[in-house]
Amino acid sequence: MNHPDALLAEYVDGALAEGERPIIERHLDICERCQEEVALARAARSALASVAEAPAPGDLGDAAIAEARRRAAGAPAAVAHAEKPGWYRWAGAAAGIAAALALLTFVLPHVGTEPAREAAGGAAAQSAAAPPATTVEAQNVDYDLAGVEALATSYRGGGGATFAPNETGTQSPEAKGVTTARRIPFPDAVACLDRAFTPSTGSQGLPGQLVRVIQARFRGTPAILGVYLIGPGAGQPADIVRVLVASSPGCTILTSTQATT
Amino acid sequence: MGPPERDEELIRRFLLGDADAFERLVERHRQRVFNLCLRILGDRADAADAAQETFLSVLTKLRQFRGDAAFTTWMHRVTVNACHDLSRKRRREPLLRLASDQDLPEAELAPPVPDHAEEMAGTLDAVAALKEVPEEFRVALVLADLHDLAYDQIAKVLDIPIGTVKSRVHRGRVALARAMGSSIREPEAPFRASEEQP
Repeated sequence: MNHPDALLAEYVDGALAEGERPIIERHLDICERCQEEVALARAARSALASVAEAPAPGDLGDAAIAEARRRAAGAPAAVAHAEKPGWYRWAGAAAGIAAALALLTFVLPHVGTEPAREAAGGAAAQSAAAPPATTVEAQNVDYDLAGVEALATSYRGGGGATFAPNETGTQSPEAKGVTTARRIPFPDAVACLDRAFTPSTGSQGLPGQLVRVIQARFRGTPAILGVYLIGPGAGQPADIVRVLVASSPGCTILTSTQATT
Repeated sequence: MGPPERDEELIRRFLLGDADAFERLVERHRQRVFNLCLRILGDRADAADAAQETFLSVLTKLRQFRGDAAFTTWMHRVTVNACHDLSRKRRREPLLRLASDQDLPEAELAPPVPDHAEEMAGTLDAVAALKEVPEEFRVALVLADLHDLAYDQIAKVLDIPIGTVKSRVHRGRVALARAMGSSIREPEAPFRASEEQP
């Protein structure tokens, strides 16, 4: 028997649509499991209603406030966004990108260490967002799980654009000598990722913006890696990076991972 | 005194160089962010760490925020992500947690609820039992039943379909009630819970 968990939540809330309520009540008449769960859910909801709010520490957020004051005191860029002409903003963006690239050059070899992540997160996060992918990047690399995770975390703070596993020492020993297969056209690579992952995400097309497509290997299997930046929408910055790995050919899921930016 | 400034107005002022506006933003959301972290993580010190990380993350990303009605959703999302990050970190370093597991008991965290001793006992049980609820259900449950977010808002915060949110909330409630066991206070309901223990 199928149990309508999603409708039971609204039933317990007393928020079911008029047409749905008789359906649930008919189900409850014959389903002891759901009867019991409705009673338990009501009890839990009632217990949570009496949970009091805990007082936050008085100094919570002070570090962020102090940082905000420091930035406001010496942050002409924030004012420039509102008051300077367009060319000024572009110059500022170019300077930001140059700074981010410099950081990537010097910081990425140490990605994974706490100070490096903080350094990259603090400055590079203000650089321009990664543009959408338009090509397939061929890498003569055999990724392992650690390599895929390192690829995801390299996007923290807006970085990652030049990441390759051999830069962080996560390349598998057997990677040397791997020859890259026939170059896969970009539309075919995207279609492969869609085919492998869309059923599991349950959505039309994959979420977020595809910012990088890599043709390489995963544990010896020819693979396509897609890097997606995902945000809440409404023009807000991405806060999750998801890396999906599908076999190629075949387009079956090999692995996936995600990290916060 | 006029009406309180909207979040979006405070953000706009901060981006023009007014640090006081950011302070107001933090003060406005401090309690909510901390409590969300506390109920997800179940540990006061961890909750303070995750909340601190949340505000730093908001500060870093605020320049890219374009100012619309989705700020609260975004704030919850950043908070939940900070909690997930800390949870993962804690799972990787279990031995280092032994010392701080002696944190303040939960009873010291919440101000007492006056008048009803039974309700007080129920509160403590619910808070303790929350830690036994699987994390993915717990997050949805806390957002729905403690933070009063609508299901469609939770779907945006967690980036999952709304049907999945409702299922997780229901499963979370059931798991919570079972974790509370016999101490649970039965509400008036047409169906009685079975006396079977989990």
